[in-house]
Amino acid sequence: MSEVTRILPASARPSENAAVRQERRGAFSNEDWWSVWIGLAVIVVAWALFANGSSLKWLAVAPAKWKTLADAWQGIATHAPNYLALFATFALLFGTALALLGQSLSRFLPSFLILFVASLLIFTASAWTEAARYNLEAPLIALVPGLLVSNTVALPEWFQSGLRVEFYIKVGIVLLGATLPLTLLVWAGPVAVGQATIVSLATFFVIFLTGKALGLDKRFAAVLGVGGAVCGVSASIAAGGAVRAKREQTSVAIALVVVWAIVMIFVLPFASRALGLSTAVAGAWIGTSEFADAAGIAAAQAYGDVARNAGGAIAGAPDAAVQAFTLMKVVGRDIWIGIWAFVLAWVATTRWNSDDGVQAKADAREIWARFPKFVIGFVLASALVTWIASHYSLADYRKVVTPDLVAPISALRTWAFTFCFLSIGLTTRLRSLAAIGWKPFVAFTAGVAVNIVIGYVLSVHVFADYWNGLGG
Amino acid sequence: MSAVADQREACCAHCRFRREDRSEIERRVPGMVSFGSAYGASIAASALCEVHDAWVSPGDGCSRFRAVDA
Repeated sequence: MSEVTRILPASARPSENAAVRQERRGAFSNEDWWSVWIGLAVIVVAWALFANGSSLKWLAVAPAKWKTLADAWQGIATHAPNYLALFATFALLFGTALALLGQSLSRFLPSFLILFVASLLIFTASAWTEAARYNLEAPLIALVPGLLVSNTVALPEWFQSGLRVEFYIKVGIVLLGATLPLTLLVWAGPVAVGQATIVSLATFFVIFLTGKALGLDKRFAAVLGVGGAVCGVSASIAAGGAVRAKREQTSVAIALVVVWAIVMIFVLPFASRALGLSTAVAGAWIGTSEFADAAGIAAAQAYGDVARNAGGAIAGAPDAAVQAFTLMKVVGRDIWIGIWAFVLAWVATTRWNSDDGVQAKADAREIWARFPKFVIGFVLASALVTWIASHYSLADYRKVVTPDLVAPISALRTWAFTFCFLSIGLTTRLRSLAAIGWKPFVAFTAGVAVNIVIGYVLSVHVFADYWNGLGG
Repeated sequence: MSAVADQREACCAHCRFRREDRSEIERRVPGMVSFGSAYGASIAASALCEVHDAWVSPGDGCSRFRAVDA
């Protein structure tokens, strides 16, 4: 019996009164919608300031390059008011959303203060002029100490309140939309969808059929398959809910996703470097072969940072790695989770026997209910900034719009990603993950192998021209 | 009350064994917060059933149903 089963209460306790049960519908009901509102609010404020001859630059501060510790400290001290204002802004935005989602503000705020200060230190460390020589890219500096701390020290319960990996990454992705022209999204979107469909179907069926051949329950095999094929933990939750999987089955799928996602954060950028891939092609490969959005952004940004410091040895613009990743993963794979869930729910309720007596029906409304709403914010952000940019010549865009409008939004995006990377490490406690068992491990790992190989062939050999068109 | 209405009432949405508190779900599913969230869209209306120790939707039903305020 695994730890997951053992922590279940021996007998069912009476539930809370129906009156206090949460309503999960509506445009303020989940982190996805809040990431849309927060991201778009930031962009609209940045635009309003820009239109009035000002800029969000004062708030969107980031550490400058430094050579000595004295320089680094001087930079922090000089901009202390800016950092304070930035903390207050993020705390207000995230705190409001989380409080309205039912989380404790008194727990979130001290936790987020620690997260912000640690992020500032990480951001500063990555601005060291010698950082590239030691592979000290911001995502890796954030991840490794976080993993070490969370796996060696018992962190207090209240501290978990500020570690909202998914929320931070979704806000960051909406802000990323502001730096990606809509025309590029329309141009590369179909390629992303095509590539993702091939890889997702292949990965799902390899995991599902291998799991079945090994004697795993069909529901369990389906949860593992969608977790590997679509969007990792979110997909495991969606598929688990759709097929009415056992809680432990979802926990095992999540454990496999977490372990492989962490491994891939380090392996994929390293392999991309060794294979000499351009930033855009590497981003597409990472987008095809990573399992979680947050992990993939970490890997893609790490590779972009390597390229930035490689003195031209890696082809392509540094930002193209994250842009290609996002197109591939978010547009190509994530948006189909509702359809996967509905189809699996239909198959599970009409074709697979339920041995626990639960009567269930597939509901087409799940397609929308499980849709990752932050993608809407990503597209709207892209459309808005593209429309603003259309009023300027290319020269003015580079001279005025980029530094005064786009760059501050990019800086805020980097902050959101840093909060996320640090939270990944601090929330990943390997000992708390469900006992996996060799059969699910073999089934999932078979999918990982297929996913990586097909993703590589499609990104590097079949669709390379498209991806390099992003800035490669 | 009609039989259809009775059946509609006797579903997970009104069952005392349905556990839908999002922070509780995050505590009960190890690893969920590392790369996921019970506060996101992907979970939709799914919740945990304490009897079956499995995911359920509000419209599901079973013979173990017990009303919230029964």
